[in-house]
Amino acid sequence: MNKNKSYEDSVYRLGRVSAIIFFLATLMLPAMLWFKWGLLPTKEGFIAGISVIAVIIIPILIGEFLSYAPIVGAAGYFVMLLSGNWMNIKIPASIVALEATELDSNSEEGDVISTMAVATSAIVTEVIIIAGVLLLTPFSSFFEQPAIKTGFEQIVPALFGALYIATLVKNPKAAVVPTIVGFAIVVSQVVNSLFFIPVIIAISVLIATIIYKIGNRKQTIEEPSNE
Amino acid sequence: MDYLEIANSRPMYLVTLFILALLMAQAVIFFRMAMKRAKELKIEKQVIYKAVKASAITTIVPSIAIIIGLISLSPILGIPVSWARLGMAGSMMYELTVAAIGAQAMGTELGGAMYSPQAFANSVWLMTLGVTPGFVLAVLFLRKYKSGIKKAVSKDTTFQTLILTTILVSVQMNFIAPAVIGGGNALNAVVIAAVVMALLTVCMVKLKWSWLKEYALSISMITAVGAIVLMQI
Repeated sequence: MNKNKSYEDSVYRLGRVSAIIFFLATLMLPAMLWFKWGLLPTKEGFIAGISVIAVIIIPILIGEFLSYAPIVGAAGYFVMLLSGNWMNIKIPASIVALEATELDSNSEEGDVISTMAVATSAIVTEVIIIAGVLLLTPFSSFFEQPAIKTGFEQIVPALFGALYIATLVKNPKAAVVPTIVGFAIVVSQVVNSLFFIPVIIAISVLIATIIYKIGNRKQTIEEPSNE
Repeated sequence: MDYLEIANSRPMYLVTLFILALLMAQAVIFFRMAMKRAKELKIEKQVIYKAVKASAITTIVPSIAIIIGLISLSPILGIPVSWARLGMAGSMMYELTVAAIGAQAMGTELGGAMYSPQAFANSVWLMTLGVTPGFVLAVLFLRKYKSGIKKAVSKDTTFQTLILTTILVSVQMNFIAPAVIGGGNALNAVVIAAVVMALLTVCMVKLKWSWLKEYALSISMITAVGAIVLMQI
């Protein structure tokens, strides 16, 4: 238990320090434009842009934080924070690694394996992108063929179609509520598509919790000996 | 000076490589920390190897999609900025949206003829500053939030699994439902990948081909993408 606490402490310490250093480093790109070439946006343009972004991006980022923090360990979360591409790469990589090792994501072992999976995934992605940058010219002509381009544009729906089946097989009952809620929200368009994820999660978790609690109560009434 | 010359200049590459080095270093340090913890928890080496292999295989196909994003973004923002934003800290949808807002706020259009060096600078500032809330939330609140969730669900593992699955499926529905409703290639992709995954799952369960677990997701994605490519020809 004690060792677990110190592991957790060092995860958060490293996570926070690395996040701050990394964020400051990313500022070097626009800062370089400013210091080396004197390139700055106009004050009006910058203020107009930042206000639009604040309105759109802040709620999205809060939604992402609330949605993704529960499904990946703290260390994995900090790796994702720096390397990006959460839902299309890092989380699937972590899910598949946990599946392959038959570990539970809620266990300590699962948390450690998930961290290694996310870190591995981050490194592999960057290596592939480096190769991509070096070979950009030949790659461009291949991937710019209309048929190839159209195919790869569908990689995200393909990924989630397959992941959905994998989740469904493991836990079919739990998939029912979010599936229905998901379709209802998307069809009704009650919120802007940018907010689909947090809204679907909030409603689904609420309904699932209510159903679970009612079911539990019934069970304890029917089988009082189990109490 | 054309802004693309600046965007693709050596200093910009150097900064991008520096950011990349930080990211890689962090991933390696976390990996080693987890490795040490795995030893304490007596997780076998084979299990670790399996996890690393599964993760690496699953990462390959969607990473290729990032290169395609890079191909479409780099003529507009230059290679270093596109690389730093797409491959690190961001994603295609976010970066495109923010870069476009930056251009619009400067009274021009992303990549348009009037897209000036100042407009480019605005896009870069906004893309960089736009993710600030994500970093602030993680640094200040991740620990509190995670321990809060743990307390709320930890007594009951069935409930814990139910909530995690609900969240996971909710996220998946965000991508699946619009594809199913919208139809076309997106729907084909969902259906083909789902069917292939279902067939592979049958093989894993009935024929006990557990080795397939690491490849199933990649095979499903590649089959769907390949089928759509063939449909175009």
